[in-house]
Amino acid sequence: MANLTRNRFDPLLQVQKDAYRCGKCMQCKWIDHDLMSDTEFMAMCPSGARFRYEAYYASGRQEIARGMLEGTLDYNERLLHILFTCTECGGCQVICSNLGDKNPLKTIVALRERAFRDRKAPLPEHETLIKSMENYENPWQQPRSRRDAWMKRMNLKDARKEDVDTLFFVGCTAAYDTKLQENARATADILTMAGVNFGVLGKDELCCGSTLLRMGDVDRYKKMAVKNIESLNSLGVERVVTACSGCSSVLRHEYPELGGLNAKVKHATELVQELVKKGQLELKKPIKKTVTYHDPCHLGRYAGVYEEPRKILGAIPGIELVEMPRNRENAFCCGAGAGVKTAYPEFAQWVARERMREAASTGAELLVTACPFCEQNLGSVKQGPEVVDILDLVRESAGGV
Amino acid sequence: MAVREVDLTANELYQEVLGKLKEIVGEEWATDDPVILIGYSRDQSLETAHNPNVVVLPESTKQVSQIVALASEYGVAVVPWSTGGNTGGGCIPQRGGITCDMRRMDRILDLDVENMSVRIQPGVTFGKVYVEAEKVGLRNVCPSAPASVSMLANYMDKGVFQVSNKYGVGTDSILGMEIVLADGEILRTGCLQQKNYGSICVEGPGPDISGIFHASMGIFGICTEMVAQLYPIPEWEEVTAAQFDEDDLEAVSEFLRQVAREDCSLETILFQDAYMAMGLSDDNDGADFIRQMMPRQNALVFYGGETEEEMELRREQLDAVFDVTGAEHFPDAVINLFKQTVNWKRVFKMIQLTPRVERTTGCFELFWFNIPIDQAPDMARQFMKLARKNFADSGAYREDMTFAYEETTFYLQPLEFGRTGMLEMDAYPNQGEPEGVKRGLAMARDAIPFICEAGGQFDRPYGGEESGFGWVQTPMLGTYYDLLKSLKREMDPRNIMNPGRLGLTADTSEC
Repeated sequence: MANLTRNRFDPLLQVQKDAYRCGKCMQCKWIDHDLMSDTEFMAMCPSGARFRYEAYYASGRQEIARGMLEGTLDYNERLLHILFTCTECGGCQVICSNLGDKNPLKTIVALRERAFRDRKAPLPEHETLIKSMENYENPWQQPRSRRDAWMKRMNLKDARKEDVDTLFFVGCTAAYDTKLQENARATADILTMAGVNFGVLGKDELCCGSTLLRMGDVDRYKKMAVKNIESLNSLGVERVVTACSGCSSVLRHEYPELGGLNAKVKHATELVQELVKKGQLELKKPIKKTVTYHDPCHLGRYAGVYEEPRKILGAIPGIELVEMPRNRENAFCCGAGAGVKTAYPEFAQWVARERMREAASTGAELLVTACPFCEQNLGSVKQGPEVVDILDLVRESAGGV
Repeated sequence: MAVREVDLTANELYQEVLGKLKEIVGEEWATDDPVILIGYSRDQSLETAHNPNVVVLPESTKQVSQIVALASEYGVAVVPWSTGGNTGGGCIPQRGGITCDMRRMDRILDLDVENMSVRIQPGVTFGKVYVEAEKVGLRNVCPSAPASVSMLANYMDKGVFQVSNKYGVGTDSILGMEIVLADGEILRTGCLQQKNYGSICVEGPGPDISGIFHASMGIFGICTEMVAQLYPIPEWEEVTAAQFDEDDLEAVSEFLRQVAREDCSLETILFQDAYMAMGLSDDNDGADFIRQMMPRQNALVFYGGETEEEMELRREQLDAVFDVTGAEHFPDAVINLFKQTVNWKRVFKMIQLTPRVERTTGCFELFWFNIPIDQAPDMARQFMKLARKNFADSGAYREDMTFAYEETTFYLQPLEFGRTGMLEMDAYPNQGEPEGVKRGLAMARDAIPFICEAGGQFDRPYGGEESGFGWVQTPMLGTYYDLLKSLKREMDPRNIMNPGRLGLTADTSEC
């Protein structure tokens, strides 16, 4: 065996056991067969489904980790392609952790982290994004001064200056993408209608760092996260709510490793479901549509929030929910995450088309999701149902704009 | 067919081969990039990892035929790879060459309800067929393997059916095959000989030659298509289980034999250490909890039929077996748990959970052979002694997840109405831990001759040149071995088809 201890700081050493323990059961490629209803849609791994070679699946990536550890593999264009076409959707992780106590997602994260440390990453396509994070503290190359553009004329409370118990953490995509700013406004409108005492950070909100973490730029992510933790903890709020699945996942599951937030973190769908249940938010206006729900990876597999969005849809009069063959833990990724859309837009589109084809197979008029990133990528596909955010429907049914 | 006199370095040769492969399958589907190759280097056996020189992903039988013809022309090895779930190193390219990854051929070509059969390509998983067949009231038999494995490859490899053992092994459900031979010619057997294939399975005409492809690990050709039998799903089903004292293996084997001979189960019977707990839970924590409620030795029996009356009749038969053998029923609480969670589909899930068996170490070292049922208890005890000998003091390595001999498992399945039995004995060394691998190979060296001498027969001699059963057993077969060797030489004169398997091609000059 090659020298496995040549660099004791090698992130791959943390996943060494899994690299060898992968039993090659090959189940990481498919959704749970027990829940499979349509074999047309049985693929779990987006990169494997598209590129087919074994190395593009979790089982193959474990072999790459082994090769890197043993020093038999070196970086080349293909290796970087394999590492960075993984959307980190966590599909393989769900299957593997249930079956084998292994953690393939950790392996891909470690491979990316190692690529950064070996100065083989970032990819050229990611450099712009990282510079943007360094200069503007958002990935969209937008100035801080425009971060609050979405809330013009909304008269929302400033969480730094006013007494609020809830912070609405908007997230970069909903704050800057003019097509998605309506999601941010919908969330704020819903919180207002339900009488939640909330505030926002406006121009002072920072990126949560999720994109950096998923791309493997762990050092920059940590700096960003620590800054955010200090900033958010200084507010003294009880609750942080976000409508972005990526933000909620990082705030809730990753920040604790760096000290964590004092406040509870909730995705907006969790809070809305609570508000509906308590009667603080009444969904009364019928929306007569057949809809299907796309589970965002970071809300579903990463956070286990599957039922709340469905309960919300069930509470809206007139809505008929039809499930896609791959749903909940088995949901197929939208294709955008972990820097994939930036580096490999054609592949991200291919994945989105696959998902939209599945959505179309249900006969739904609307594809509802709960993540601006999913909405952005799935919405860019011309065929299939219209893509909407769940909060837009909630606001409409609750009598908002 | 042209045979090229090669006067090239290995690198030049494979560059030339790669260029021609790309002409056959397209630029995207053939590569020699080491980053891709390493994905095909290993499975869950103790076999040492080997990379192929080239990987190619064909999408049709015609392309496979062209690939094999090309390999033959250049004299390079071709190793078929369907879904990669092999437990015996069968798809590891021991001598390099071309790995022919069949996963793009993943279509169910026909599901014939009337004739209860399915026509499939190599990349079709058991799970895929199960889901589609269930929609029309049929099922394939459940493999003793995850649902993610290739049904075609598992059947070709004499896969054992944990819950369907009265139908024999995988090859007993094959109705026809399409095979690309070593010169690229295409052979069709059984019902696929007919232009418009149907349910009729004609072995022959005359002598049936399809048998030489069974459990041959691709050394005579690559199977590109198969027609396989399907079975009805019973309308009525129930489950019961028997428990036994840990040391009373004779009682377990007698119970299993009686159940099989009386034909009172829905061909479902499973004797396994408390690992059946895995099938009753959704995750490992749940399995561990349920496992605590279970005896180490137990037998699970599904029974039922097309009518409720038939199910009741089977229940009476089963009760008689319990009485005669003195077997004890599981506690009601556990049986109720079974009833709530176990059905045919659940059993299917249970089988796909087999990876949990090796969740701590990641590697099967399995010894899998046929033996008269009444000899199984003694064999199992002897095996435990061997495990103790080879792994006894390895507990110190637990932090590195080296296998501890106490975790040796085995299970017994009666086959063909109890005529014979299949005993599987498993150890779980860690591939990443050199001491574990060393001990595992030592275990193989001890166990294989012991099993053969005791009358056990490996009906699918797995493994390669380092740890394989075939290398030990095949030379003991005398004339049988000589004839196989002659056939190999005749059918694959350049020894390109998965060379180094079954002990037939140890000396390449012979073939």
